[in-house]
Amino acid sequence: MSRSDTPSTDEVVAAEWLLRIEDGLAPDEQREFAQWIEGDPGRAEAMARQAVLMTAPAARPEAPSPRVRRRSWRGPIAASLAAAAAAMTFSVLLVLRPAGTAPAQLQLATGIGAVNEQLLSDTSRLWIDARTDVTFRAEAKSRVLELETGRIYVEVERDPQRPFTVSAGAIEATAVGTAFEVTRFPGYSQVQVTEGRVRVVANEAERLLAAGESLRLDADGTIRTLAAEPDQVGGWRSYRLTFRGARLADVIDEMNRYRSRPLAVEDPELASQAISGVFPVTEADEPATPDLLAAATGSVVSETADRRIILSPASN
Amino acid sequence: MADDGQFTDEAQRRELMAVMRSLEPALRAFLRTRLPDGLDPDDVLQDLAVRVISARLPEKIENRSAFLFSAASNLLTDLYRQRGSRKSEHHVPIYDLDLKDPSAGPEELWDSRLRLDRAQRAVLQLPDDQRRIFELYRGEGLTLQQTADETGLTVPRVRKLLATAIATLARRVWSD
Repeated sequence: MSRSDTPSTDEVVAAEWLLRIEDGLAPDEQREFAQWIEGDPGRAEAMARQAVLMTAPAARPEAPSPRVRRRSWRGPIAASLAAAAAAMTFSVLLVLRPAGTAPAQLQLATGIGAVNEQLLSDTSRLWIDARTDVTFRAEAKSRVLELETGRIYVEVERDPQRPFTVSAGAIEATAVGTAFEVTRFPGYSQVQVTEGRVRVVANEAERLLAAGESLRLDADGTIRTLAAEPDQVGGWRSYRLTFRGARLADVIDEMNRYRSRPLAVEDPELASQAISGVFPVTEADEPATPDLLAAATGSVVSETADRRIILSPASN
Repeated sequence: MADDGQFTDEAQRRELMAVMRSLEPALRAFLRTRLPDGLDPDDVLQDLAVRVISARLPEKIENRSAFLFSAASNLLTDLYRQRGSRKSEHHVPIYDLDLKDPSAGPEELWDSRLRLDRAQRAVLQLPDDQRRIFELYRGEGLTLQQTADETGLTVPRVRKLLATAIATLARRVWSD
């Protein structure tokens, strides 16, 4: 092999085939590839090396603790920050379509332990929590953010001509210029308002929420109006979770959003035990976290065969 | 969750089988240069197909072609072991940048670390456009289409830049 750093034409073609094969080949491409690969034994060798290269960890490991990684190259589009252990899945998908035939659309999805901050095309600011999937469309008369799953916080840029609506399944929140959080978790959906007013439609019933108010729609259809505690709403944006007298099961649900190995509590009495505290999101995936929760609730930690971590009542 | 996992597993298996069908000529050529005399690459391919169809797959396969080349390598290693010889005697390089095999000797481990280090340095030395595409595709896990959307380039252009980046990296990593 040549000492040169510049790849040969064959090597570049090998890499192109590799990329095309991952996407699937059409029958005629398949024939073309079979012919090409037989042309020189070095071609299959090059492909094997290139394929293996695609499984190498993408980033240089940072010593000693790469838990927080900045990705500044994204620059003006978004400042995205992953607070995650190196082994955790981290993904931010960003799809921008230019305005034209289709409305400008932005689609975002975050993985475990990732919190993403985004400036929308209308200059509203959007924060996306871990395990969240959203799509934003700005049109002439409306701005619509579809929350497929997860949790967002938005500071809406005032524009009376174009109301800003967050649609989260059975719940829909519309604002002109304000700040609020919308949650769509498997067990419930919730809107919490920190500034201004938000019109909320939940199961077709309409309410107006003011700052400091919150509406929660449970999976069984129950609607409750609650207080929105300003220091708790959107705390995840600064990588902290605040709990005040929260059920252990709810705390665990929250923490699991940032954990690569989920925690579970099966005992109903233990599950409803109340705990309080402020937890840094960055610590949620630490091995010591289950022990801390166990110590706070007087329970014990065990591991199941399928690698789940269970909190159970301490046996007497 | 468990049902979900089952479903993902089957979908993954189907995709892996599709990639194997496409990659088959390359796998055959790869095996041919490494097999002891008198053995048919198609027999090993047959074994590989059986494993893909029936073995328990890892939760996530980063790159299906790499998975298949590695699986083919492992079958070869088994074959040489059965014949009571060490693969190093046959000078058949088996590529691996992330050795999971705990039985790997210190030499192999060192080799793997050295190459990994080279790979990561080489990424930083890529021309800006290639590096950006590589980071979006490989680092962020975007598809070619998504990378094209993100950068405003066409898919063929993205593929060309990415292929050049991959070929350059591979050449730097295995420059000796």
